Amino acid sequence: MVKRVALLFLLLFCVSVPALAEISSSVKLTLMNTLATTDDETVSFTGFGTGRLTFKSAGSKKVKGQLSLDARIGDTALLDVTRAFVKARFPGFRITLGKDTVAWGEGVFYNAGDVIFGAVPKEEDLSAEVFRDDAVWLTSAYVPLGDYSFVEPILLAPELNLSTLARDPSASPPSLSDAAAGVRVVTKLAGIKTEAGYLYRGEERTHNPYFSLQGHLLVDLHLSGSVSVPHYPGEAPGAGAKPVVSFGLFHLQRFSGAGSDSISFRLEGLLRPLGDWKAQDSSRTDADSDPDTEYALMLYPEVAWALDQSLTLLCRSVVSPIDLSALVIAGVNWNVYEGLKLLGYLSVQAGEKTDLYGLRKGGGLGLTVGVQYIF
Amino acid sequence: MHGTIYHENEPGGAGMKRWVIAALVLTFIPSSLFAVSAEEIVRKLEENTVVETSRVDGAMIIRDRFGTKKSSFISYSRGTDDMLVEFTSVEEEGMKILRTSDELYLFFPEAEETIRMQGAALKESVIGSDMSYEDMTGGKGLLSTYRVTLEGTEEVEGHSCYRVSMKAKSGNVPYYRQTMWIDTTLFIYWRVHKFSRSGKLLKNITIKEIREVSGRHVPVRMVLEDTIKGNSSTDFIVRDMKIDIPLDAGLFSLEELSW
Repeated sequence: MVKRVALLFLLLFCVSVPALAEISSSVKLTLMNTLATTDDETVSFTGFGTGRLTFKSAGSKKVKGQLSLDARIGDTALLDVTRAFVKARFPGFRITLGKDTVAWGEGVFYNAGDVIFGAVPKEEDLSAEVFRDDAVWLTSAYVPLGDYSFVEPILLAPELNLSTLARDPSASPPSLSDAAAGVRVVTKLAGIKTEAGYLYRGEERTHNPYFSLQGHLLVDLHLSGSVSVPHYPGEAPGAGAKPVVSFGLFHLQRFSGAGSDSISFRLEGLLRPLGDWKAQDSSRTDADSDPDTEYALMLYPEVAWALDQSLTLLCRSVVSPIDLSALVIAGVNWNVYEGLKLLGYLSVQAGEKTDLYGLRKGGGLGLTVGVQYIF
Repeated sequence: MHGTIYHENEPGGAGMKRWVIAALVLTFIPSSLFAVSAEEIVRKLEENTVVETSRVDGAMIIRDRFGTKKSSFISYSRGTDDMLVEFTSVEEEGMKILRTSDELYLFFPEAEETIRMQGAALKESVIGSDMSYEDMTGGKGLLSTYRVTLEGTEEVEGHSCYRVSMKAKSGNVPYYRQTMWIDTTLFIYWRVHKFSRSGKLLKNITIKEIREVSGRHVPVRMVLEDTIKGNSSTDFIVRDMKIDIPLDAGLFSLEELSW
């Protein structure tokens, strides 16, 4: 019996050692304590965290796989698979299949060229390390056309709600007509990074062509534009073509002085020519105000002052120039030790209650302190 | 012209002879050193330091007033222009930098995003080190971008070096002026000072250790200081280096960067 158990352990050891050698794993924990004002003008205190556990294949130059599990930890915990994909390389092209992200267009916050995930980040969390972290079930190919050029066709499966299917196995799965498909071409023209693409979104029945340019003229610049054109224009009232334009400017200035390093300025803007050019009437009650208001112009300014290799002060804001409201955060980001960051943010919303942002809205005033550790 | 000849058996002749020889040597050595032109020195430096291809397994130790951080990387290079760096440390795992003759791209694996670096963004620090992305550009040969002048010989950390001053031929370089201390026998540099157009010292590079790899002397420990920051330094350590190895033709492309 003992012999059998020993043999089993030996067998497991022999199998697991080479398998483990082919995997790299990492954990990213972001844990925050937040004090914030609420809608009813009381103060809430929440402890909230996210954890991402990532397993990546290693060792093969032809195949890659990744599985990332995200846990959102608050009073309750939510588990999500945020990445689950396999990439394989073949002569002349490569494919990706599974749940992954793709970065179409240009822009840190606003990106009109992102016809897959949208011109505006899903969560307006200005303290986030990256604003766009969404993933989608995709099948894509990457075909290089040269050292700096490639074509990327993509097919996006409609969202499959597994919990609904588990509750009701007879529920009909998503239809093929709800899928999205498109292609983009990235190249360099006259020193400008140029990207153009198209996506048909089956669920919304819209055609979405876009372009993005990135270059440098005194400051770093990018410009993107897209238009969402309904396949059946008469299908829904007011459903016409919706153009969106985004732009961005970036400049970094180094300067000397005791313990100082650089200061960077970023300004991004989003223009919806057919959006609302007039602010909502401030005499309206909460119930009357439209929470889905899409103002024609939105701005994202950011100033980051790197005091040191590891210490950065930053100020980010989302400004709505039409109703003169804004969300502003001022923060500090201190990379104390290898993998460890201390984070602190103070956020303020400026504006009336019917504006996009307002001091008296939920989260009108907030203070967050936390840590991030990658290991 | 007749010189005085001293024989060894003549009283006082041996001492005098030694003095004469020493004087001759002293006058001969500098003239022989300066017989080498600055261009020739830099050419020999480039012949010695620029390899056909290489693969380096290295580490960066970033020191500032709060402590030290270590990052590791694997880099591939081809000639003076092409370089691909992939970070392997947990915090930056999978982040890549691609440099070619006229482009610099970054790849962030979490966002699957490829970013073309240019203009002001090039001044940003590479993962918080004393090296900027700008330092990674300018792979073109030194002689094609700088006018070089031999200023003399000096000792640097016990090594006899040519002091070569370099002035940019055009404004299209990260550093307008450089001074290099190049070993008089090994033709590798032991120290480099990089200056702004106004003459301000911006970067100080010191080689701490060299090793012979495939018949070449290569730096395996280098300290880079960004003198503007003033309170930090970055050690570059080569743990393993392979020279003149076969590399895939498509290694220095966007396809490889985003893989």
